[in-house]
Amino acid sequence: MGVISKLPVVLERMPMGTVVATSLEKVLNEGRASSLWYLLFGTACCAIEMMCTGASRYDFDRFGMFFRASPRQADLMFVAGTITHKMAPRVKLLYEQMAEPRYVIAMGGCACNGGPFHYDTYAVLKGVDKVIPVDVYLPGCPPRPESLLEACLKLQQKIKKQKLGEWSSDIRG
Amino acid sequence: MADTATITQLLTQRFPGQVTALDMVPPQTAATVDPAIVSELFAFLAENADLKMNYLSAISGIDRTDHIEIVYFVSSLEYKHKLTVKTRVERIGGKINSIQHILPAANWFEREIWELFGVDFVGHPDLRRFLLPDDWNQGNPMLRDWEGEDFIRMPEVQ
Ligand code: SF4
Repeated sequence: MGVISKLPVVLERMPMGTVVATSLEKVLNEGRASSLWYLLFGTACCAIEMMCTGASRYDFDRFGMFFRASPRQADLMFVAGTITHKMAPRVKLLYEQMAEPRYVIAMGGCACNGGPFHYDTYAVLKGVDKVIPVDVYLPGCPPRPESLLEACLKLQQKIKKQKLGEWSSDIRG
Repeated sequence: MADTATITQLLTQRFPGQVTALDMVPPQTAATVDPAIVSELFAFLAENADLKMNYLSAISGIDRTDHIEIVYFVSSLEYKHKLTVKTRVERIGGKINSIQHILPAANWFEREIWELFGVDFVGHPDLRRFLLPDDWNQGNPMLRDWEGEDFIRMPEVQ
């Protein structure tokens, strides 16, 4: 994202630069929010709801969302399911392989804070935000497809408010 | 085909005094045995012409707080009868003979119990890290008093 993150700095110095920057931002954000390709990645029961949301009854396609089998082509990752300590480094690796800008929805209690496995377990990571940054937290065990759609709309709102220079995860933190 | 009375008789004849309790109520017939005899016992169960119990479904470990109970589930594919064998080992540094050379299916079950409870299976060829993360160094997590980093115990409900 080298050019994109330097662009606003260059633009703002030019006369009428901010007008161009804002319009460009709007176009790019609309495009990005309307074609969130997600990584097909699920580790437990929540993944069933995610698949259901992707199938014809709830139909992710109408948001321009398709699943990709490779993190290299994905913008969005649903952490759908229980993340164990053994799985955590793999989740981190997949996240790092995604191209920037990248987004994460923590789906279900397990991904938010361990959920049903919060107490008395040696195996489960207590929240996926311990290893990767999360944009939207979606509680439920499992969340219904409607709530997953709601989380995606929330993420779209968030993307549409982004500034050009904030795209890189170095800035997002 | 042996009914429960025959199994009882065969076991008590072959291992007098070492089968400490028998609970022969079908369908879950159970025998509690001395840990020293497990390898002979399973060899006998598998090879006796009237028993032929050579199919091992699972081995479980249970932390009974003062000892660890090891439970074997064997059955006979030919005669369709089954037996649960219970035995006990020390809680810390417990040792028991491996039955991997008689019933090869025991290999992974024993490895799992070794890892999660710390029971040493003498004669097992391959006791190494199995289900836990590769860099695990926090002991045997299935023991009831185990605590590790970021482990949260369930609060008492009043
Ligand atoms: S939150 Fe509930 S449904 Fe989702 S992965 Fe965890 S246990 Fe399964």
